[in-house]
Amino acid sequence: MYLNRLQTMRLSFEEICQGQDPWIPLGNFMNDWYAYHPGRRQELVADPLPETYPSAFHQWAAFCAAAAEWFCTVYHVPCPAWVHSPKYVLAEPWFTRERESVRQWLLETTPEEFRQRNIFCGNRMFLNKYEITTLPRR
Amino acid sequence: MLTQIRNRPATRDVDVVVQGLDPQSEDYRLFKQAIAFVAHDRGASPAWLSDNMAEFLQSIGKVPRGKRWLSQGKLEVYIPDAGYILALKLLSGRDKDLSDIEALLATLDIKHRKQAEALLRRYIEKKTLNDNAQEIQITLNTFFE
Repeated sequence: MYLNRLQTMRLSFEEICQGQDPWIPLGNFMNDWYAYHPGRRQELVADPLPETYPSAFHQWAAFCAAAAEWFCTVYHVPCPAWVHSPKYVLAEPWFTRERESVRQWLLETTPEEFRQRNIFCGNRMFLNKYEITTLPRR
Repeated sequence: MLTQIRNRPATRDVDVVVQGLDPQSEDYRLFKQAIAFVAHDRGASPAWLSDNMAEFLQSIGKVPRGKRWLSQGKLEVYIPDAGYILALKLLSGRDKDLSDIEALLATLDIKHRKQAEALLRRYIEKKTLNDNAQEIQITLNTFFE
């Protein structure tokens, strides 16, 4: 909520690597994007993720790259080149919800930015309470 | 979640429903001015405390009064019960809500899908449940057989 601090995608990923529940830094990123710093969106995604990080967090690195591209596409912000690195394409599909009963929904609704990276997460991860009835559509 | 369930160390914003104040009134203007003053004083966004969600919340069902948490002069703050928060989070079904849903299910000792469905019917009006039926089922499928 503090205006002198930007919750960038890079910072969010670094906090994930420090062991935070991923949806805390990603939720903070969403707040900055939607409410606190909508005029600085390009800065929020500009910095590439760190070159090196523990391999256990590679899925989240790919997720952050996909998320950055999704936000840029949906909100018409120039997309930084780093998100397109092939290293952010997972070798194996990652279904972010484990139960078999939601797998079909994940396959059917996941946006292209995530599918391209072999991530299947559905389409509700970035629903914005500030524009709950007016989420931009492509 | 922060003060009642205590499953997180901090929150980035606070959503409120302002009751008993006409949005055109002087008291409401003072309320908004107080939010802006705190934001300016602490270098925070004025969105740190917001009633933007109030209209939406009132449109999907009756907002329960909750229990009084703070009384200070003219200000009274009520905290909604955990069941209402769970119903809202089941309705939204965002990934960022899933860990909160898990914590609330445990707090409320909800172990079966029918219990969760009954809770939704208690707090959310039928039309909203019908309009969002598929999304709600997906969220319930995430936690229940």
